[in-house]
Amino acid sequence: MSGSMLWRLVRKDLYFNRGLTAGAIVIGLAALALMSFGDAAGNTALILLVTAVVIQGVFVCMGSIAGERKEKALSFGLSFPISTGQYMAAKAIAAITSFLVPWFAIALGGLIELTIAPHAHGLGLLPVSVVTALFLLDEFCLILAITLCTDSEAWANVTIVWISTSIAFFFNFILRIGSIYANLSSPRAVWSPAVIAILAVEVGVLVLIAALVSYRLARQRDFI
Amino acid sequence: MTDRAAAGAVIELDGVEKSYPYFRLQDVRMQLAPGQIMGFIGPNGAGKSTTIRILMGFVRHDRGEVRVLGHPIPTEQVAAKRQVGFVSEEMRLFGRATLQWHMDFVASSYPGWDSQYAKTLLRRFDLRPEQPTRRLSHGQHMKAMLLLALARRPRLLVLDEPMTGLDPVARHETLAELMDVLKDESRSILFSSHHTQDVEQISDQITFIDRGRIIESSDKETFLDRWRRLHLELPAGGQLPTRPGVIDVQGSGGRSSVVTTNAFTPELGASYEQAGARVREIQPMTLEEIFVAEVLASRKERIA
Repeated sequence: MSGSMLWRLVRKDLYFNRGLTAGAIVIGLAALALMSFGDAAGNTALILLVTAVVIQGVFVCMGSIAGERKEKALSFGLSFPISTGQYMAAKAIAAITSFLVPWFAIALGGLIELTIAPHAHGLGLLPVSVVTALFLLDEFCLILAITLCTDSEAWANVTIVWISTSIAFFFNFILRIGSIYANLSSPRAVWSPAVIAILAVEVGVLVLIAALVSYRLARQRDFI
Repeated sequence: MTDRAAAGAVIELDGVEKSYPYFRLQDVRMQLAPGQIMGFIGPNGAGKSTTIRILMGFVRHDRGEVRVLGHPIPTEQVAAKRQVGFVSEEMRLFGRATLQWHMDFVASSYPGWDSQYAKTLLRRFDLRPEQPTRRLSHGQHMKAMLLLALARRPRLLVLDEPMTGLDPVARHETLAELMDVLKDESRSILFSSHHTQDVEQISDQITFIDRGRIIESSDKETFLDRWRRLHLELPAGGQLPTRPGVIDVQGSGGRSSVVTTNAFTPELGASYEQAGARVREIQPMTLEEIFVAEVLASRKERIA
């Protein structure tokens, strides 16, 4: 029964997050459509797309995890027949799903934009797009980890500030790498060693965050 | 654990300890039998909520043994929580849904959900199911949580300060519902409060906690029978003899004294009269007076 309770709690959070998820999909796909209207519109669209994904991720974590704690609904949730560990797992699964649904929808839209749309630019942007998508996933997992592992608003705020500032540094960093910048307009995807190295670091960060969160929650004794 | 199998206690705490930087729960021992209501009384910050959080598996104790409905906590908290209804003054429902959504969610999670009883409680508590929970007043929120806990028909209700913020009518209605629950003799209630009046009305068992320690636990009648306040008149220069169970003596050395005892017997008054004092009045004490006297005596004893 506790397994079905876990999935019931996941569905509950997906239901509560449905507005944010739908909003991110709509804004993200609209931003992708905007990209076809030239470079100026494309830059605006890129900012809009990244902002939509980031804000949705932050709102999901702050609303369904930190917000639940702040609004004192955590003890109501924990009073259901489920262990504290399973409850935290349900929160994490629901938040990741709420984030990944628009993330995949936008990624799919982006792939269509790059390949089969009438105004397709070619696959040269694909490596940068993948690197960016994984970077946004890393950023989401960071705020998710912070909200799962601590009830400190200060830590959450510091993480949000880090996320919002690091995006600019990230783009500045990858576009300064010659092998990446030189292939942006290429008709085919060039998976240079630099791209592979960045992807490896991003996957490594994901694994590290998952390991640290699992370790922290396994040792946690007090949930309220 | 004492007489576990024989007693079949619904709640058993044995030597439970929990340390925080500024608070320590020490050697907590208590038992609640099936069909009983235990009033768990203590001042603010005494350790009532910490004890209840340990019972519910929200907080892990450092030492000791905890069992709820026979299940060790926290290892078997899932099995225990299937049969426990929990309401806390510090708890809120999910803010992004209506009461009806909550009722449906709880109904889908507990096979014992009684829809008819839920409807009755909706009417009795004057709640509207379509109302978003974040728009409920504090009193309505407490009543909504009680509804969700009661309509599951749990074997054990754990209520942490459930009356806080309720108006007198709502308090009366809630107490009446809790009394109704006890018509089924297999159901039990742990009821924490710092308001002794509510506890006195419905409890069979009383447990006092102060500064992280259980200072007394007994059935209500024993408490009320044992505690008395004796108003004595002394002859000039008279001294009161020392008697066991005397918790406090006010005005000692003057012409009149007030003696508070937790071991009253009719022989106590007679023994004072034999010593030359005149017993003007023997007053029964309310639970609140007993509680205050217990807490003060316990604190005095610890300082000594």
